[in-house]
Amino acid sequence: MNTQKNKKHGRERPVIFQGLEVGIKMFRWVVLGLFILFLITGIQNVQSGNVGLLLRFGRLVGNTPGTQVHSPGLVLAWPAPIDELKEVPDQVKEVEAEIQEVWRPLSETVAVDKIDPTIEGYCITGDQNIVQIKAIVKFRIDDPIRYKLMTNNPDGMLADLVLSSLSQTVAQWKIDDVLNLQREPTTDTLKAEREPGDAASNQPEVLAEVVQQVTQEKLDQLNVGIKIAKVEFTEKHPPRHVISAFRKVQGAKIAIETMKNEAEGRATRRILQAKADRNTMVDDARKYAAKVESQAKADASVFNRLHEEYKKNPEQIRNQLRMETLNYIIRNVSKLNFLGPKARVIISDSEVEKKP
Amino acid sequence: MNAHHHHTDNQDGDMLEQRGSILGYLVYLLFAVIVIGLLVAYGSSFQVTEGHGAIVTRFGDPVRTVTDPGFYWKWPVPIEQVHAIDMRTRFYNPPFSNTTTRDQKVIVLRTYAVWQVKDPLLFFQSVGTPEAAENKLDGMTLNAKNFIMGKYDLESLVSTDPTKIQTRNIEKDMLEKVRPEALSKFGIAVEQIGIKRIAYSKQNTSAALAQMKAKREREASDLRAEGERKAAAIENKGMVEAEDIIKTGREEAGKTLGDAEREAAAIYAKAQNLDPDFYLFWQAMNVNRAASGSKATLILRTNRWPFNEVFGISDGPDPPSEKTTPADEEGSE
Repeated sequence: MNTQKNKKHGRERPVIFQGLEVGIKMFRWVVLGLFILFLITGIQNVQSGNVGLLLRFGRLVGNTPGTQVHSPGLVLAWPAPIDELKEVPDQVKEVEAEIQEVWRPLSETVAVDKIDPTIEGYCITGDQNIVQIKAIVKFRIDDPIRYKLMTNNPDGMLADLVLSSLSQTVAQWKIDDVLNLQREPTTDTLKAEREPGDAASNQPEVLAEVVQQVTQEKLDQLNVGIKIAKVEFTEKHPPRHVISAFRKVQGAKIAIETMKNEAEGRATRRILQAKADRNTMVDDARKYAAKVESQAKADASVFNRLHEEYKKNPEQIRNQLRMETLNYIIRNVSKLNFLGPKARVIISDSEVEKKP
Repeated sequence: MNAHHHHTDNQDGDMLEQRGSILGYLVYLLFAVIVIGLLVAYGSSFQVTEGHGAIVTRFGDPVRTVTDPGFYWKWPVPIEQVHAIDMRTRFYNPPFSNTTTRDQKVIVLRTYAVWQVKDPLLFFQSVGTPEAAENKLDGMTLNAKNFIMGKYDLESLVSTDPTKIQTRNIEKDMLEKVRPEALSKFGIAVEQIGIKRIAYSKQNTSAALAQMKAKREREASDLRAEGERKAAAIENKGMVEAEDIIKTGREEAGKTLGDAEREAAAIYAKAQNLDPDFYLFWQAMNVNRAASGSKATLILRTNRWPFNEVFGISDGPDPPSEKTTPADEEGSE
């Protein structure tokens, strides 16, 4: 019975082993395959436009910046948790960040004539006005190691430093200069900072450049590894509570030009009219003068001819002239009245018809 | 027993099979040891990443401080624990608060602080987490801000006069106030403290806004008045110029007429000089003709020549001399 059992068992055993062995052999290949796959996950790719930093057990691999920073392409590395690859935009790539903290659109409705600075951002200008500005900062990563490994949230830090520089700079500028984004270098202190004879000393100060410079100084002091390429202001205006008053000024400036142009137009028309009037006046005078002269000449020649006759026979000419004149008068008057020798005539004012 | 039985059955084949199995077992054993070893190693090691440090505590007491990145051994978990410390530069914004300046002006300032862990152990023991550290920084920067701003006027922060601006000094003073305490108490190095936002308190904004509005409205009306003045000036200038033109025209016309009259007068004078007596007679004739218009009424005496001849009245004077009178000139008497 015992032997039977053993025999039976002995006969079954190799079957089990064989099954196990086949299973284990297969398992071995699966494990090996998985292990190879696991190793392959270590090989990683640095995207173009980026650089890679390889950390082995948390420590940066390489001793010099040249060996520490990997160019785009495949990087041979051990799989996690041994190696870790961190990608950072390369030095040429411009990264953009928008800063909206001190800006609100003009289109929002105005509820009250107050602004709670914890809810709505703005800047105070040097002449104590309120402005709202939206900025964009473009930057490059100068030092990927400082940027990626030594700084917590460097992009956020940059945005806040730009904001700080903006607030501080605007607090030193007049609102009109802020809205123009530049100002004339008026102060002596500013000129003193620059070299005498510097060509730039007469150039206007540009707000974006000042903000960029102040921010870069702070960044350099902190060694964040960021180089600002450009600061831009995409929006700048007084808050919507008072924008209508500012627009009135704009409107007034346009109205002034219109008023001036209209006045110029009227003045020009008046001058042209005066010139025309003058010409008419002079022409009329000339015509009249010509008429007077020709009349005089005509009269003189008539008189001269009469005088020739008169010299020959004065009395006859006189009488002849008298008769001609009398005839002329009688023909031309509208009414003839004859009065007897004793009759008297009284003329009242109403009957008098004045003739010029 | 089984093996023995098996052995007796088929000795040679069994021997080979057994040897292969033992090798196989060894391989599996090695594999198992490696896996278990890795697990144990995983539990009794840690990594320190760049920009970080670590504090190792044994039963809760700190025993080791690691600041160099890399791979380290430790006792597994119940015995030793690792606390990673982020030592990177961080940025913190304390909330807004009202601040009174030396000249008693209330202004709302928001500061920022850039800091990093310098002494991981002290940091771990005093605050432990960045959040807790920032809570401490909050109070410290607030105090520094109120204390330092109390020494400066508002115009040292807000002014168009660059000689009055003291922003950098204010920031430097605040940093100097916070830095030693933060380092000695919490093991954190404050690298920079700055003013991030400058604002009016909510109540003061309405006055500021009203002032802005009033100023611009005044400017607009001033501009309009100025525009009207300029326009009037332009128009007046035009008017003066036009009047000048008219005046020269009038003068020219007058001169032309005057010349003509003089010329005519000369012609008439020449004629008169020929025979003044006859000339006067002739002019009298002309005047009488000119005076007798179509609307004139002529009143004549019947006893005067030539009508006395017509009416047969003899007592008229001589024919010469004037008895004809022009138009409405009264009966010549």
